[in-house]
Amino acid sequence: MDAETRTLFESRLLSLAKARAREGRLPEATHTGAVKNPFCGDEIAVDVKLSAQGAVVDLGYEAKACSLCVASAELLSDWIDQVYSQAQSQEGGSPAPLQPEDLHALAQAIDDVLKGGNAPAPDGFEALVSVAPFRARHKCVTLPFDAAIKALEDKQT
Amino acid sequence: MGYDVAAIRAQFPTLERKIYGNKPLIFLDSAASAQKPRAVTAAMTDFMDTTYSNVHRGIHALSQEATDACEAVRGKVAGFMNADEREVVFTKNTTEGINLVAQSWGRKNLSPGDEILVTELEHHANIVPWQLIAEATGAKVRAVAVLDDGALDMDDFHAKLGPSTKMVAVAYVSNVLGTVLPVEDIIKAAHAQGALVLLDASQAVTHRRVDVKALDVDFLVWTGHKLYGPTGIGVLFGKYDLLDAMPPFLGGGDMIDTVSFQGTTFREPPYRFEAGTPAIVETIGLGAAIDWVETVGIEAIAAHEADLLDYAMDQLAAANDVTVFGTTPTKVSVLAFLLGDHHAHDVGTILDRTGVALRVGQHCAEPLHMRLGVHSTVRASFAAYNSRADVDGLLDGLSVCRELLG
Repeated sequence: MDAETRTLFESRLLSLAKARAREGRLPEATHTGAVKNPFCGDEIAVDVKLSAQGAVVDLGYEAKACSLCVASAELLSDWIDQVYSQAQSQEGGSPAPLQPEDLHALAQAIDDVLKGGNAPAPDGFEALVSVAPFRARHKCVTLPFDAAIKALEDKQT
Repeated sequence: MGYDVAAIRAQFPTLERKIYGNKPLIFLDSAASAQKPRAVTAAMTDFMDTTYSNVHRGIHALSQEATDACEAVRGKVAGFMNADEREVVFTKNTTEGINLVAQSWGRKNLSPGDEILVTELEHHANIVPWQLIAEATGAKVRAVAVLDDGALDMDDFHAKLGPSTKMVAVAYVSNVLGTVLPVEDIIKAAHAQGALVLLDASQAVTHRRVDVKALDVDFLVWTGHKLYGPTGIGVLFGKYDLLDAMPPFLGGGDMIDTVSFQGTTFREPPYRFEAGTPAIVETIGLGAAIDWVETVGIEAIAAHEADLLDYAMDQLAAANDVTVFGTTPTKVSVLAFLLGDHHAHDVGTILDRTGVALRVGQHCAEPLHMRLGVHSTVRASFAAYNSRADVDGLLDGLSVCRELLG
């Protein structure tokens, strides 16, 4: 088997997808978005919880989807958790809490990585670089981001 | 001499390709679209090089030659499915054929309370056009259930078929499961209730002889690109009296008798339904494809594919981690399956990198997948040019999937 395929399926993406450790809906979600990939039928629903100040504090998901989509959702959920935790632990409120527009920027950065851009993958998303050679699978990775952005664009639940 | 698959393969240049470096292409996606033999591409190129012109109403020699060539293909298509030439409408594809009948016949004949019977195993192309016309007319679409083995639930069919049924629109062969539906029984029962029948024969004409007169079917649609022909050309068969009573689907040049601002009149079928410049070169390609199939012999192709299907089914059955969907005895060489609990796309991605080209997903049959209780499937389909070595290549690829996916 070629190196690209081995790299993809021997990356941590597969173990993340198998564990599905972070999968679950958020009982206290303020926003919810669901999207479907019409090419394969994969579906994902993403719940986002915003604080009273409008910062993203949590993200949950539920997916009927392939390993790459689930792994991507796991990475996204974990990333939000880490950013939120860091913000909480910082005195003086720095770094700034995660704003919805940060999610948009992250989605764009992931898209750039998949398309083979020169910029390095954002911290925590390095494993997604291995998906770049598999163009037919890019949408699998971006689906959770699409759902998160849709959630933020929708009215509050 | 028996079926010489090596000689058949040699006529398909694409099959000589290597992909991902040096991997031979194992093409198992013919149910989506078949590869083209040189005879088809040569006929199209030769026509463009020597005879190309617009057709119908041309005064010059080229136009008359091109018209004659296209009309000869109409005759060839008619002979291929035992129809009258006047009953052969050229369309863009199967989807357009079904939409044509739904919109033209449906608008004139459907009323609130009428029912259109489809099945759970239909391609979206035989569901959505009926939903659209049902919404416009107040009619209702009902779906006949599918049994666990992929067969149609005929008890449910008979229970749902009734005086309100005006159209029964069903696949001749499932594009996912390969199930051959008992269309003779369906047509007889529908006619007894006064309903018409449309058969989606996209996956049937490639695997078996289709005889519209023997079937006594009212409408039958298929597409050229699955029959080793080009894209952009399809066929609608309709009984002449039915076509003659139907209003046009699209308006424009070629389909009119006279045009004036006081009123326009339309030509007789099939031309009434062929507005605008047709797919001229593709029509020639379709004719060449039919010639190619008839030369090899559709019965010989079917027997060869049945052997491949049996071989593949036996091999997959021997693996205890493969679930095959559609296990009826009446089945053509379309094989949907899942490997363990692995997502079809993960399997498809790895198989692709081993050189195996096949389909993953819902294959435009979302309701069927919901019925089967699976999100998506892997679909391998075998055509005239496939060999047992291709099946072995698929099995080798599945071994790689097991290694990488765990």
